[in-house]
Amino acid sequence: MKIAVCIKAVSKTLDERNTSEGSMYALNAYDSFSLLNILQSKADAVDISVTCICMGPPSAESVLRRCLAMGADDAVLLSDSRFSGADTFATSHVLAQAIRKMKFDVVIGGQKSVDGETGHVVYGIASRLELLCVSNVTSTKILDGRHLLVRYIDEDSIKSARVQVPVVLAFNDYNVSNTVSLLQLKQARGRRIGVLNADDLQIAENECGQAGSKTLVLRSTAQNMNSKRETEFIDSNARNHFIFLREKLKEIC
Amino acid sequence: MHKSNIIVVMDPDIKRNGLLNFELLGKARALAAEDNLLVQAIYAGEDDENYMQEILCHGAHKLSFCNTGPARGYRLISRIVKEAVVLNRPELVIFPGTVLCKAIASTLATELGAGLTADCIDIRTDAKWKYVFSRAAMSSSVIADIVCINTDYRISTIKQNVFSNNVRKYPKSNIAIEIIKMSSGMKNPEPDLLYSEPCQEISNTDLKRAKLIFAVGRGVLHEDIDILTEYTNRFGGVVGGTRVLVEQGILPKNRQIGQSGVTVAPDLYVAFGISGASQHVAGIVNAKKVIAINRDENAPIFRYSDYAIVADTHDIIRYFKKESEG
Repeated sequence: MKIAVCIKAVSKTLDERNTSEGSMYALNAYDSFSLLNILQSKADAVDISVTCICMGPPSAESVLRRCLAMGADDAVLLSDSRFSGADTFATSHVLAQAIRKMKFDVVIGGQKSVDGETGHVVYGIASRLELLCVSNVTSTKILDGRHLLVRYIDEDSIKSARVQVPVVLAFNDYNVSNTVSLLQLKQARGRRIGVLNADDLQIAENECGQAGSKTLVLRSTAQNMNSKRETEFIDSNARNHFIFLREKLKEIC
Repeated sequence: MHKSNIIVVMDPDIKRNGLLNFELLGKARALAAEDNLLVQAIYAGEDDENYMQEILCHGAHKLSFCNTGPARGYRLISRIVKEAVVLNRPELVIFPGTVLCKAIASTLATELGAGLTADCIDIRTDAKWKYVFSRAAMSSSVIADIVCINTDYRISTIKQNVFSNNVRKYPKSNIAIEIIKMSSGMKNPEPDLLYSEPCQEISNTDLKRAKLIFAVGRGVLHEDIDILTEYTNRFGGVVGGTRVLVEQGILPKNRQIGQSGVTVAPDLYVAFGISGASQHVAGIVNAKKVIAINRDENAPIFRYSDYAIVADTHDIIRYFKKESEG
């Protein structure tokens, strides 16, 4: 069974724990969770190959190297200056094209990224490949060459379902800490990471990057000043503080 | 002549999200008024005559209904919505920010080549761009203003409580409900469900609807959380908390308040031992009154509070305990 894991490299300021030494990028915590989960199936001696795919600049390869250190079999970086400025629409196009070319049975990934947090890309990929996307997945188990057992959350219930490949699975959980041993990192250093550009993927310039995007960020401003309030400091002892709280509580209840 | 419109898609789980649907209808109606547009609601779900009449009283000029019964497959509903959108060519499509509707929105946007903005906290009309969508990003440290380019379709998803102030009753529209027929080719292939167990610990509906919330952060002792929980429950309130406490396993995920968690809109929000990280504050902007208690007088939370108490949470919670026992 061939499994593709979609990986996003995010700024390391958002997640120091998932960052390798010297890298500018961290492995998106939701993607990390999905990768670890599928590697668990691999550990249970099932015949699967796990390939991590990431669309990013050349320096994002450090994140893919971390994936290899964690146990992935292969890693491919989709990199091209024409990919830059991509929104979720353009991103899902590039990833879907790579997945299509490499012919995978299962596509997994984090449901969202810790920076954008849109949750669009997995569905974009599923839509383009005309596959079902099961989201809010918490764990998965490979049953046989064509089937997986998937545990997912649907509103207020935990559900367990049997799905048939090909399928897209989106994991909506994250690892708080994900340590990789120095030995694993050392072994990963020598591994080859394939790089594909727009021409390799047969993607036209107007289909990727900003040119292929449907949204544009006009401006980003620091946290909205409008949510600030006029603050009154209540300066007293603990007992009076309690009484103040209780009064406010009674006012509204 | 065909008048342009704003389409609002209803979440079919009206028991959980009925109010959210009205929030979006209200916002759409306010936006529509600026450009003399009509608001069209699309509802694919169970045949509920009462609710459909309510839709027409809460901002929709038109309602298009497809009887899909209890089916909740996102791909099925995507097809229905897509047909209606392509037919009506709206200026804007708004979806509730629920799991199901975000799946539908993402799928629809991909198929139509639409500009999609997730979890908007505001939508404004704009002479140049038609609409500007605002959303928080980077753990809420920034607010991004986003516009749609290279497309005729603009779609946005909005979470509960963002537009809670927009819920309003309008004079009921007289336009007859349009019935959308499901074309026979529509399948609804869902995963082969083996079992489903309801799990109370997952639901966060109570937190979304709560009028009174006691929220806890790192500055609260574990045993004090239980005391607060017991106390709030008596007043019909709910306890929530910060991402840190969820990550540490002290609170379950469905108690998380903030950008990645729930956006709340209580009448009273009391923050115990919470520093006020931007991604948490993003979840409480619609609280009517905020009281914050923190040992550190420079805690950012105070800037977003109506009342500030610089104190150790334990000293105050002791009195909650005394009153509970006494």
